[in-house]
Amino acid sequence: MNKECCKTNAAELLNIKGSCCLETAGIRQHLKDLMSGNTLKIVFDPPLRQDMENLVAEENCEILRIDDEGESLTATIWKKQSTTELLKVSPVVDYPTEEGCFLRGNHYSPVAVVVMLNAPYGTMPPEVKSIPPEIDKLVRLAVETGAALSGTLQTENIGIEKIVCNIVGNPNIRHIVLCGIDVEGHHSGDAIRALIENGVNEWRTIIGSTAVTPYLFNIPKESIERFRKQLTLINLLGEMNPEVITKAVWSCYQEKPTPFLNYTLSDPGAYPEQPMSCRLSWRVKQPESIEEWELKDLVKGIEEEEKAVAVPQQKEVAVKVSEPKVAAIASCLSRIAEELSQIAKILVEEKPIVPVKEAPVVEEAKPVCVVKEETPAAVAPAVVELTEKELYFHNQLRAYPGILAGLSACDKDMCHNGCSLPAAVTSITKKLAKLKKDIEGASISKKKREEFLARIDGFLEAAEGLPTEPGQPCQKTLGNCTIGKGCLATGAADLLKQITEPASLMQ
Amino acid sequence: MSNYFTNQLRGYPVVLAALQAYSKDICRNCIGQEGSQTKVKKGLKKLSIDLKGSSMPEEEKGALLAHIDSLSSEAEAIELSEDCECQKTAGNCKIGTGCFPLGALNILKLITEPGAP
Repeated sequence: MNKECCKTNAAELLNIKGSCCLETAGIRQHLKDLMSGNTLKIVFDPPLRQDMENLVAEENCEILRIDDEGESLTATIWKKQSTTELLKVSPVVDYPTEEGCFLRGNHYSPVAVVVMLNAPYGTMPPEVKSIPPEIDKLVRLAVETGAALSGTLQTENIGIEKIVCNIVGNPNIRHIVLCGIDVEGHHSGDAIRALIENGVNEWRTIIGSTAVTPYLFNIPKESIERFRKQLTLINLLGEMNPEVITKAVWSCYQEKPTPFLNYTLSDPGAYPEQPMSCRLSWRVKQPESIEEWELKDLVKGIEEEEKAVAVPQQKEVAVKVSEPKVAAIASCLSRIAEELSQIAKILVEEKPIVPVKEAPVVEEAKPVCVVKEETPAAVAPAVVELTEKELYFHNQLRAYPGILAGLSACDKDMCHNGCSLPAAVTSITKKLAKLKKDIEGASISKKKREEFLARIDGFLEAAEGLPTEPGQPCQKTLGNCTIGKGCLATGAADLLKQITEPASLMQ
Repeated sequence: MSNYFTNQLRGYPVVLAALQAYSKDICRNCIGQEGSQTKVKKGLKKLSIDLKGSSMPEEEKGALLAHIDSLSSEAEAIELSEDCECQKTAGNCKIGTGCFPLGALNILKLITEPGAP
């Protein structure tokens, strides 16, 4: 709190010169009515100075200065914030407990900002550079304006879990600003809104979310409840205007209630409970692949595991150990330590011990970007060197192994005696023949031509082993194939339709 | 009831064959392939649970369960890289918005009859 600043904002002046007593002059009531952070000037007689100092202290105020004007004194009095309002606490030691793409600011700030990362999946992390500049700008702006944390969110499960962990680890954070365009396909912004408003159901699914897989399997339910209680949501989803975001952040750390859009914001001080150190359990690494029918068993398993972890702790508290037992245990532990030390020596002789890498120290004052460690990229053949024509042939040829494998599988089924499989094989063979002709006539490099033609020959050879005889009866008409209107052989052949690029050559 | 399980199981060999073929391509490194494999494994698991809970004759049930086990082993054997990422995002797959493994998985959607018991 900048007291000097408050001093200049002083407005009220009270003159009680001639009054014999502060109580009868109504000073106590004036001090009671004074709003936190505001100042008041009182002109009074010098003999009342001690009484004034006592009264000011009793009413949780502070005398900033006293001007002596000879016959009178003028005290500038400031109403302190109540201890609960101004309470700031230290976050957990390992704060922020989870990595992610975010910047850190002052951890005493009461606001965190989440900008929706509506960009193609997989662009970050680790390729942080590929965050669209307008999103990156909002993240930076928020932390520069005074947010404790500011980062991006993409997924409606793991992403939200990380945010929960990092926020419950810092009770000073009391507001969360959601902004940016919600993530297509994920609807993560809506999920976080629904989480704060409604919580999760018994299957750890966010209630009322439009996201497809809003499951929170990897964090304790207590942390979810705490997250909801600790925070006020400032929902600016869809907002990309930096000025609006800046105003929102600024409003959150004001000491006096400050109107912002439909909200009245201020810093209420730290949440009055201990910070929670919480990390993802990673019990479910791919929540997006969880089917609804699996939820019941999965959640049951998670809760049993949590109970199993909790039970020994309760026992630990309940057991009372007598002094002789303590001595016996100490003796055993000492022997174990000795044994371990000997094992360590043996190991050291066999192989030098690799020093354990210390966790990187993160500066608190400056915003820093905490990102996941980069994993080696999967090996993949480069296609960047291909011309448009070569890319067309390359793409077409990529489809055929799957198509032919699918048709071969159909051939082992009743499709072998049907009419659709030969029709599909004939169609594929014709397409391969046409492709071959096009490649032969195309102006592409000799090396590529030979490579493509060799592949086509291989596919044509494989197709030769499949039925092409027309005139066989339809297995649906015969009543053998009862799968519905669809056809497996046609479905396999249709894999070719997955290719739509290069668009200019797809005609 | 048996017809439902038989029909469902007719789709999986086709899908698995296609996925195995695409695992020789860059799809091996792709989350599309990884996701399709997971979906197939889970679909088979669900089918197995439903089958076990059904009132079909034990002999018939046993044969179908054996078929499911064999298909599950095939699904498990599909080769994948340790770290999969979308090959479109990585700039390696340029076929357009489509995806071969997801297209292969969609073959299962061609089976519409009979409805689930």
